[in-house]
Amino acid sequence: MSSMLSRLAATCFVLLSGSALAESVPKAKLEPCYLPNLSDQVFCGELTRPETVGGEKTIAVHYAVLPALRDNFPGEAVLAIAGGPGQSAMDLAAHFNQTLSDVRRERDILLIDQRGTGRSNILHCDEMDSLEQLSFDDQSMDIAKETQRCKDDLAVDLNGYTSRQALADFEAIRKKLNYEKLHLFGTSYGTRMVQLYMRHHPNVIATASMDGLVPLQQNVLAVGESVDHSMELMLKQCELQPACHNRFPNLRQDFESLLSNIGGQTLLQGVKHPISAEGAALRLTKSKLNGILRLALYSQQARSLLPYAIDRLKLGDSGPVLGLFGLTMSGFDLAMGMHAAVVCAEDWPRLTEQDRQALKGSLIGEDMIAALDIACPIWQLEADVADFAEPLHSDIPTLLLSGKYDPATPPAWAETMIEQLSHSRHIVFPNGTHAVAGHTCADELITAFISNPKLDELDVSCVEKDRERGFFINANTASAAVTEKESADD
Amino acid sequence: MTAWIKIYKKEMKDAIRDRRSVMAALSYSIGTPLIMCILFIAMIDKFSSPSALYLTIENPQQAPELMRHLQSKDIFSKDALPEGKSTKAITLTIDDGYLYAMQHGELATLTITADFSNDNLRSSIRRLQRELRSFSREVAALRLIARGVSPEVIRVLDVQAKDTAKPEAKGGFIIGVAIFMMIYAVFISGMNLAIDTSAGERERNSLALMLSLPIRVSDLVLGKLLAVSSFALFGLCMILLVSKIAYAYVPWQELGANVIIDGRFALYMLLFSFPLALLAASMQLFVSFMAKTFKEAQSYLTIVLILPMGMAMVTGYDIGPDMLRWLPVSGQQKALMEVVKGNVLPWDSLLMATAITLLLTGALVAALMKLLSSEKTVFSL
Amino acid sequence: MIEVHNLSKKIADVQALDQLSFSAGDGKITGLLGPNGAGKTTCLRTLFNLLDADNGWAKVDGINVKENPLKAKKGLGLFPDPFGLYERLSPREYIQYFAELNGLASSAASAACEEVIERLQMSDIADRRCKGFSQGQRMKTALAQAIVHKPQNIVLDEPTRGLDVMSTRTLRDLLLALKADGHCILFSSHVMQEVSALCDEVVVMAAGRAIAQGSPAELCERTEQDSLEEAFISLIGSDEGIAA
Repeated sequence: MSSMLSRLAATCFVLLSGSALAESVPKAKLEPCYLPNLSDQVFCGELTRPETVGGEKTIAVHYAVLPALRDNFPGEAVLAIAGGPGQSAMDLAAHFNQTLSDVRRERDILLIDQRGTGRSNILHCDEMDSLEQLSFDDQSMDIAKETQRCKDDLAVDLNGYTSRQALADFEAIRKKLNYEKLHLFGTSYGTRMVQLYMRHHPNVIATASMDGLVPLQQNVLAVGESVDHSMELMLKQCELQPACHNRFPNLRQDFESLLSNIGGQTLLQGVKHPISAEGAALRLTKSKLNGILRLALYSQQARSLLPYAIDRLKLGDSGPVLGLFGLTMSGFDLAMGMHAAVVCAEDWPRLTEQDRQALKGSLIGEDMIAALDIACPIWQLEADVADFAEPLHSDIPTLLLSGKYDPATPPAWAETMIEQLSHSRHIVFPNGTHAVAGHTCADELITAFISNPKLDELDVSCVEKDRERGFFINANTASAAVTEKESADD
Repeated sequence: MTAWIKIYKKEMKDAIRDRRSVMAALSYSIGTPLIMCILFIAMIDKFSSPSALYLTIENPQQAPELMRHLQSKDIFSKDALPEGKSTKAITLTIDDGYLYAMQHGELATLTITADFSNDNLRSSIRRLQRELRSFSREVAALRLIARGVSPEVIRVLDVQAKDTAKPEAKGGFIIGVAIFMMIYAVFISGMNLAIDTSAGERERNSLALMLSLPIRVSDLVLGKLLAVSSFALFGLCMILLVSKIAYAYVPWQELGANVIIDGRFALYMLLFSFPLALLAASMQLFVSFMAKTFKEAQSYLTIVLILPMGMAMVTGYDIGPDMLRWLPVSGQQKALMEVVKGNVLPWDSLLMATAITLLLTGALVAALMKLLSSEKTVFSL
Repeated sequence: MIEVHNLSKKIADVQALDQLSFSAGDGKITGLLGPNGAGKTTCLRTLFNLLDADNGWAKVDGINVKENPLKAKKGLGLFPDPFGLYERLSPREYIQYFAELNGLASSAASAACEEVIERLQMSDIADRRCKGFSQGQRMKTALAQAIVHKPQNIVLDEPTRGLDVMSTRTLRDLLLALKADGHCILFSSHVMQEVSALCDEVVVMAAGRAIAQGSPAELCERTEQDSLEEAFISLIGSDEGIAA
């Protein structure tokens, strides 16, 4: 009889004790909340942190937990870090939720609005009206005045918004949420945060996945060279695709003559605003055109329109270029103050004479350096370059992802890291552009890698599914029939 | 020691030695979660689309860009079927005029031919439609850009959704069924003992002997009631334990659900079900004391148990009227579903349901005592 | 001491007890003799307050059964027919259970249980489960249950039914020993032999009434017959339902 009772009690006790572990994650104490484009209820919290090291003023750093569907690893989370610098990770919740949807089945996803972005004391500068942007003459813009105005508006000490201080926030939030181990996932500038985390807190990192890698020792301002390289790949790819080459036999010459003929600027009257359809004038400057073409290279889809857009522009039809310009007006919501804090403190000061020489003649490099040379001294940031002299050495399992046509962080950058990362593997997507996660099978690779960090067991055969795209040969459709033989994939 | 404790102890000892009673308590508690597991896993397998989907594509040469898009989403023509994989009976036919229409910006026609009512195909068909839509959207956006118009223009509405369901609440239907199965364990597990200790006692001729002893009828009823309730709760503990282990093997994520049996849930389950165990025991004792034989009691109870089963089922499937949340069984079940969904406990209805449960139990116990004091029942006069 | 006075009970349309009166004294074995359907079992059930009499009263050691059933029943031990054993319990567990329900504390119950097992010489079967017991073993277990708490009054319902010779002897010896200890023993029977062999007093019942009460010798004398059997037939006017 008493054995019956004790058996009964034991049955219930096993159940209770077995689950006591799960209760220790204080997720329940966070506030339920919603993030843009994500209908799921998730959890949000904030942590009060000093704005500058040793300073008295504090800011609230906001974060969100997308809870695991089944919390099989309550002591772990995947920290997804946004790029930019200046993007809000929480605003990108839907994107991360999509990319990491299979990861989230077992593990929480942690999103932190890095200080100066999103909800964490965003350092935002006023932008001009989008109609003005069309006719705006960017080449005669008074960068010094604009910078000073933004600085006055923000009225904060930007020295508090560098990567290292954001890293301290991340680590404090990890501790607060009781995660013993983090899996890091960073995109573009986010990979810098990943590497800093791996360097300064290696014990709490289980794995790292980096998509569009910027090695610590790599100056992000070398992006100018990458754009040129990517543009060259695009031109070459069109030459190798029969349909594209037949349709645009003089694409390279057309592109070069466009850039040289545009001279100072061209004013095209009687165009329509790509969004509002209001009648306007489009002032096409060389730097503006460069900027539009550069951003088109970021996406596989927009990139496939480039030969057609160049061809049309040469014929005097600004339509496709205007359409691509429309893309740049929305969707790149960078917190420019925070962006400046990172770039001016971490990259601009370490520009060598050699770097400057290399960027001379680059499509956008020259303009960018010129602008920073004016803006950075105004922001008055202390150089914070200690972390960037040496590349990261680590034995943490690391997955590196690149897109072959990446106009910002070319695969060659990631390739330099293989030696220093003893447990790493670099996957290049043959048709990928900047940041491959979200529109290739990179999502599957990241999922498999996080659940089993043994890189030699990672099945990467799905990369081959990334087939070559055709370019648009008219306003309606991409060119048909791209065969393996004719492919530019070499 | 009071008589009811001695009776309780004897009944428990007797019941544990009764293989039939123990098996009855265990078989449901162990069997049900296992069967549910197998069922859910089979369901997931049947209803989800395979990771690589092979189907018949007619006239693919008309649409190379579409083929590229589909391939990147793991949808292939059966021409590329590797060994060991099977084709879904879905045919995608590309119209002969597709290429011309695409090049001229006209509508390009595709046809999906399949049995749309087939559960095996439904998710695959939906997936194909989704990918065709996404290709269509992509080309449409690029066509607009090529014409100098931002694709944003035709999105028109930015509809943001805020799903008020807690993350735990996904798959409410499955959670409802799982909880219904658990609550029902309270009714099933003690049933054999209830019959054995009442109709069985009468059949063994020990009932009159028991009543000849200098004990109160209330002691007799209480002892038996607690023994049956203990078995009911033992069955509940077992089903919780087995469910916790077994449900861990079900990939609930695939169903968009999440059945977590944690300490908090188990605690609430036992707490809320305690009055139900008493109600089940008193009801079963009452019914089987009216029967003369074991067999007779069994057939009565089978009929009587339809009532709680119906209430739990209707609540589990969420098809009953709102009033059910105030009643026994459905009230507790409703409250437990809220626990699982991470919502606020409906204290008002839970307390009411519990009160009604206890009142009913009290009434049944009183009736039971009256029954056992009646010479008519005892001697079937 | 068991007294029954003017007890009437109607069950359905049958007058099961009709102003039944008798008494069974201490240190005596009293037999309730009557044909089937005479009301013997009804009488015993009324004695245990299982049935509610329409009229009259039953007293156990002077305590009115209806007014104070728990106290009255403490003075009773019942050897039922059928035995009503729990097959999954051993005799020791079974006897102990009844001892405790009859109000003995745990330790006292154990001691009493051991004593009665000794007395009935059933130690060899005491710890086996009752399932599969012979009729004799069952009888001993039931008997032990009836006397374990040493009730002043022991009631036996058709005790020898289905018993073999050995078991009947055991039972008889025990009853005689209990009588010698001053207990009041009341048993119902329709077996003449048994009654005449054991009883100091016989209550002859028919149609719910006590027709006569007295020692077998007195009854013979009163009816001017040689044997109890003859006396009985002459008392009730028929031998239907009676076994020799």
